[in-house]
Amino acid sequence: MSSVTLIILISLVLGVAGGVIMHRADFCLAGAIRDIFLFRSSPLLPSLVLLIALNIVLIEVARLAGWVTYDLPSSLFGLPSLTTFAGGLFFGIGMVLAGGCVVGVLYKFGAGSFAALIAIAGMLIGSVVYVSVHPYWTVLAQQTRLSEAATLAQLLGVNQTVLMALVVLLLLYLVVRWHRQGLLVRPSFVGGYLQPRTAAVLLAFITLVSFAIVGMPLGITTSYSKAGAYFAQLFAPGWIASQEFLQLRGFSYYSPVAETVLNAGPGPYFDGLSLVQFPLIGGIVLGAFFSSVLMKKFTIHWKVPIIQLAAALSGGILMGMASRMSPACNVWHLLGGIPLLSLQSALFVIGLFPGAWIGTRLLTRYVVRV
Amino acid sequence: MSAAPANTVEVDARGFVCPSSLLVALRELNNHKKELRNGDIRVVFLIDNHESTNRICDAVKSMGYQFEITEALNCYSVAIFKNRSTKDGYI
Repeated sequence: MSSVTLIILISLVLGVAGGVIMHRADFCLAGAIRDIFLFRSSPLLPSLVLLIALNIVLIEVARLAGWVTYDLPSSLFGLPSLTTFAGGLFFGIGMVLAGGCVVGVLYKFGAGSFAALIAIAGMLIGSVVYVSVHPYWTVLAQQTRLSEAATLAQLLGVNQTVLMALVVLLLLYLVVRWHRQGLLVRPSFVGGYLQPRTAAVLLAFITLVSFAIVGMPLGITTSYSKAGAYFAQLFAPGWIASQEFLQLRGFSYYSPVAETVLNAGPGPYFDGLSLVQFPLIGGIVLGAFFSSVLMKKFTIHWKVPIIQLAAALSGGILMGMASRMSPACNVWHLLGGIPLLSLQSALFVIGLFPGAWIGTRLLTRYVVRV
Repeated sequence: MSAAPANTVEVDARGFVCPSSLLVALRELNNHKKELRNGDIRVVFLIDNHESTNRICDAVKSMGYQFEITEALNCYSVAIFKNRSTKDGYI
């Protein structure tokens, strides 16, 4: 089997597993942050914090064992800049309006949500819209760079492993507290539900496998940009060919399966990211589809209030743009960058909170009046 | 003995964007609070998402209502009501 086929297969398997797990636990990263503002209590937050703590431990142990290698700043996580905070803010608004993040809408679409499909279309549109903003955004990113350090350990000049141990202790303290308050286990009244804490453990291992075997954390949004560019090429091939952003192939990572460095970019061509992300996207949708069919709950409802579809579309467009501004999505930053103590990811996640707050205000004022 | 309310208010929240089904459910429960408390009606929600079903049931439990989940075709039907006898203090 060629290494390309193997990478595609591994990504597909990771996607299917992720799709099943996220669907059964309804592990919605957008909801975990949104509910802090919407309901003043977030049922998923304890499991999300558990997932991040486990990711720090697993990835660091893997690094010390030599299974994972990275050296920041790199294509994976760059230097912190205020534009990433702005990206996080826009992303936060978008994920609340769309009813899920870039991955959340995939598993919801797989389970038959028409609104999620509209949000996905919005993300493709948003990615293409960003292309015209890109030349100015790069300049802004350079002008608002905050530090030459890529990680918190580099910034503080301390040992990465020691700092990680401290962060893990702090996060685990929170998890234990929630556990004592009975908040780690969710009440369930239906069959087939997967407890989010179990999902957190499984997703932590999926992230580790992705990092160790595929060579990078889970991420998918560059492929939304690619897919958007493929569509746009049908209508405006001249414009697509003239856009510098779509010609870039500046993303590179070491692929342990191919035993070589693979290059990639956001344009309409097949490259080192396509063979990971497209199978991952397809896998998540397929996994959620199988999962909902097995629960006998797969169904497509077209009759969705138009205001909800409009919110899904605008949320999708915002997420599509914000993912390129950041320059990655929430899954990449939350499950990949935060565990490496990346400052860029920290800025993105800090931005998510005010964004989710604004999104919640818009949601309860214009979409569902309460 | 319980006496289930005869009148039913049905709310179809299938296909709703998350968390609209939950918000709509909470709004409808609030709108029909009086009739529900008196045991005059039962509110039935049609929901296609299992976690929304869990969260609605969890919320109504803390509000002091009772619920009954029926697996309908490709969705959950959640009936929310208050027994008249419960109200009168016989249980």
